[in-house]
Amino acid sequence: MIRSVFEQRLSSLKQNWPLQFSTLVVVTSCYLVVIISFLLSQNLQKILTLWGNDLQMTVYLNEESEPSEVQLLQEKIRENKNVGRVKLITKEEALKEFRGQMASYAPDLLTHGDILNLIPASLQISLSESTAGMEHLKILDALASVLKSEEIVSEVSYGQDWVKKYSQLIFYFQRACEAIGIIILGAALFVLSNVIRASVQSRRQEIEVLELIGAMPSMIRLPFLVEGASIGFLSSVLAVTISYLMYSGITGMFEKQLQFLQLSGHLSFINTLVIIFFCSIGTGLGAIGSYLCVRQINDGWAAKSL
Amino acid sequence: MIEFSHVYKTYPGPVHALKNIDLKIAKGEFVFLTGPSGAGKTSLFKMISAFDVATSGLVQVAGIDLSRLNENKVAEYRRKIGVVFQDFRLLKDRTIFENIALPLQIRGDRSQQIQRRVQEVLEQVGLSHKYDQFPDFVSGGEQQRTAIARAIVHQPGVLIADEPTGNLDPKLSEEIMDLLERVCSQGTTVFVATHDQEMVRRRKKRRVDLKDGLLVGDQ
Repeated sequence: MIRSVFEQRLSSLKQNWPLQFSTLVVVTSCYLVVIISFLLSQNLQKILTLWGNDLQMTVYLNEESEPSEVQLLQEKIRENKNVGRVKLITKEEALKEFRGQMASYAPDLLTHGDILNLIPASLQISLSESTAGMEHLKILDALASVLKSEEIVSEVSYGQDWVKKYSQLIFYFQRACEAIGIIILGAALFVLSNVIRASVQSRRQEIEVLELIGAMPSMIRLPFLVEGASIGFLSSVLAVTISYLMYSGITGMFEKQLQFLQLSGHLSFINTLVIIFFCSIGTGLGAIGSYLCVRQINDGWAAKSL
Repeated sequence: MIEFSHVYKTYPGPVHALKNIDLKIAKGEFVFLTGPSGAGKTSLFKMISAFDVATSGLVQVAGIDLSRLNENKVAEYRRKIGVVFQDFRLLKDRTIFENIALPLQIRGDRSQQIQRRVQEVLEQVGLSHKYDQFPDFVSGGEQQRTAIARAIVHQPGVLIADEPTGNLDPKLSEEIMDLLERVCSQGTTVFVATHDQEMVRRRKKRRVDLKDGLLVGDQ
């Protein structure tokens, strides 16, 4: 039985090879777009996580805050399980750092004692490493709103504007990728289904004979389902291979630039599990596309027209 | 073996293809079905091969009510009958042997059993020497003998043949009829539709006549 199914599959391949080949190209292209979208989305998310890890919150303290109150606030902040490190930057330390930074740019400014007195003490807060990158903004937002209500806190800053914009950009990009993915996979399904339809028509006489001699509809459908699934599988394997070659080529070509941006170690190709999942989905789509067409083959579909 | 009881078949239009057909064919009987084109012969054969159901009335073959069969049961039922057509309906990309072996493969027989049975049938129809030929490379008579071999290889209880000699010359037609009679003599009910009145007269078998969907003769 299995031998017969594969013989029929081979026979179909021989009969319709130009159509089968063009289908393979079209479906592979569709799958390739989906993988590339996924790859881009995955790596942009990684970059966001990376930048999120560098994100710090600066909590500026009031002039009149007492050391005991500052100590109490530090302890309160440390109780938050998302917080990794809390460091007090005293007014003197902040001044020293400011002087160090400004010395070469505006040496005159350093003589103005009044201005320098305006630099407040602050708390530098970093989130714990276990916090997921995409969650950083939410956690920082929540923490900021709690800290702003503290009497000894004058201002909270954590670069929220650009992080918000960047994560919005990533969010829309991911949604766009998902939409494109669904449309492309729908197109692949349509193409596959039509190829199987052509295959069914070209083997109509054979189906008719099989119906006449009492083949179960499932027996007749099986070779077509195998055909659709194998096109889906082959296309997904080809798409993964091509996307890997493209990824390697592009990261190799821009190696220096990525190193300069400190991104080279953080970008990666899709992992093995995702590849297996993708190939399974690709194969399944092939079988579904085929099924959508061959479900019409039931109780004498071809032979009824005798 | 085959029983039609008050059978009507109406197609959209309405076209009354069969009207009040009452017919009984016993096991092992050889029956000719005659009638002009459009008389209802094909409708009758479609019902026996379960590709169509009666609008009303009862069609039974080997005690099976054909109106009550589901998809899988229909396939199972078709494995118990054999069908032969005027245009042979052979798969051109398979050899004579492979064409004949099809019903046994469908049934899930073992390869050795298939080999043995197909060789027996090839001898029966006189095609042992052509087993590895493709249908397009043998004569019309040999193609029809292949089609008959395929229809009888699984030892069906009923064999229906729709104009089996329609594409053959008189000599080959006689050969095919001889073959069908031999099949019948082994216990298979044979029901043959034909236009060839002369042959029907010569063979001296039961003859059922259809005209405009009505059974007008049974002798």
